[in-house]
Amino acid sequence: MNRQQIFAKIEAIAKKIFGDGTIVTEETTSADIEKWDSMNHVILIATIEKEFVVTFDIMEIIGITKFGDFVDLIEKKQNQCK
Amino acid sequence: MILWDKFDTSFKKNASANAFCISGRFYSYNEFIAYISGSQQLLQKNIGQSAGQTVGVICNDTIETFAAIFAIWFSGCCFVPLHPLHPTIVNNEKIQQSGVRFIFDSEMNQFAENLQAKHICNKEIKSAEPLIINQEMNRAYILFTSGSTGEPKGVPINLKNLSAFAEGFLELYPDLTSEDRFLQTYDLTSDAAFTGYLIPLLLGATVFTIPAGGFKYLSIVKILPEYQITWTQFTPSVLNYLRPYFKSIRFDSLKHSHFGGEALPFDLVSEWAECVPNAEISNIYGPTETTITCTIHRTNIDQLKEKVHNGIVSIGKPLKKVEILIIGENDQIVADGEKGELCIGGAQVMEGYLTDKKPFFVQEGSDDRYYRSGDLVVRDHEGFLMFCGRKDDQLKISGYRVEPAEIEMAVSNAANGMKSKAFGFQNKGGTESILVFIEKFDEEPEKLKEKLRTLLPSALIPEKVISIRQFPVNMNGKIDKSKLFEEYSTQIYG
Repeated sequence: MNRQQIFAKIEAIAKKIFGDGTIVTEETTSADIEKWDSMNHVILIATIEKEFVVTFDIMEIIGITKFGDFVDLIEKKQNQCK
Repeated sequence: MILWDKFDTSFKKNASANAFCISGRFYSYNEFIAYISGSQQLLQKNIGQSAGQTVGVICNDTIETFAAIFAIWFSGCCFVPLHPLHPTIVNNEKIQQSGVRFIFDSEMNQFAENLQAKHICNKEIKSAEPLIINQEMNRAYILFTSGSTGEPKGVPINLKNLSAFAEGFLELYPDLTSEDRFLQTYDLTSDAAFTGYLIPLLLGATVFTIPAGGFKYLSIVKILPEYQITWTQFTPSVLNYLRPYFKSIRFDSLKHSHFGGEALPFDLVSEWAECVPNAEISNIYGPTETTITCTIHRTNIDQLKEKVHNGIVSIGKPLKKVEILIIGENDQIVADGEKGELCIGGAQVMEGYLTDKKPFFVQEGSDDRYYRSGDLVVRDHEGFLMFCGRKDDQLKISGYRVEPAEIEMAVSNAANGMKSKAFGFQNKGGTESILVFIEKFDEEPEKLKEKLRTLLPSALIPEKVISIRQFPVNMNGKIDKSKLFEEYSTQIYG
């Protein structure tokens, strides 16, 4: 899966959680989305983990500040599997 | 020597040591003194030398916010914390109720223009003038708790109350020193925050703060190892967020892991204990009305399991200057082992709300006042208090009084330790019934009810079981019941 495809899936997940009208770019952070609180962060991580069949460790999660960070992590995990 | 003198002595004694680390920047006690002095000069320009005034502080994550608090106290005035993200109407209500005329704000927040008090901006204001310590025993702060009517209730705490708390707390932790590094995780408008900066500043230790924005539970995980934190306190709900990652968490530096603000489930904290192998666990309890913390259970993980009731860890014993009574339904004192309402007396108890209401229990033939906490407890034969839930939360089902904790304990046993909360609700037939929210539970509710039938009397089997991804929490990290009921109203009432 290339970067664009990974982002498209994450965008769809984000819109499902935060609402269809949410603007999602790789640079969007939790500060940009009102509904992106602690609880929805946990839901977002769990949904992405399930969708891509990956597991993030706590240090990886700490480093996530924007949607692009999820894409980076998934790309990295895909490369590790190759 | 009053409490403010003790702070002043500590600040001067530890002048070159670090007092704070805020957003990665360290501030020495010397610098902190200069910031307090700057704010004190500003305050006196505005209010003159008159002590006893009430001054607001918009609680930003800045050194100037802490400097403003101490400038207010050292000037013999009363501090009212205001949250920069709370609605203007809420902050104005607090300003009006407490008689605030001046507000410190280090960030000149735009919303502050709509607050009904004069602003004092203390951003980057320092002074070399010596600190002046007013010796009057005035009010120290006013906090607001949500009342049952929806109107916030002002809780004034005076210097005598605060001094009694500090004395009682330090007596229980003689091992804390100026070498300790405290992580303050609470919102500054909550009274739980006071412990995280008052105690270290009295000891000459360093206070680390959680940056505003981001997610608190992740900031805690980042800061704990980065700065080798030795003491921290947060709500059990924070642990719940971290639970999926416990296996990859290990904080060897932590010596004191405190919990407060919510009932502490034993299974959750015993798993956490493996992440902090060198830490003692303390479960603390205290309504705002009784000054921050009035009972503490300090223990190690091996002994923790000996004091557990319905899966909830004991809230321990009263601090040095706290006295308690446990009263039954007819306001009669109950014997050890019997359940009753916890009433708290002694030097930490407030004089009364800002409004006229006095929520006290007074024994016949005595002048001693005891604050009626609304919390149900049982005291065991060794004097340990076991928290049994809120009096208001007690459910009455088919004529029986039911503790939600009893149902939650059974659900936890039937559902492999999953977190749950039980509430009463009126079902379609208008009958009071039981509703259980359960976190991350994939099985059919009917299967859970089947298991519960082997653990609970039939009257206590919940009518509804709703599986949720995560419990919503409020700004102080406590489970947000209103949000929960709002989000799942279709499933509850549908």
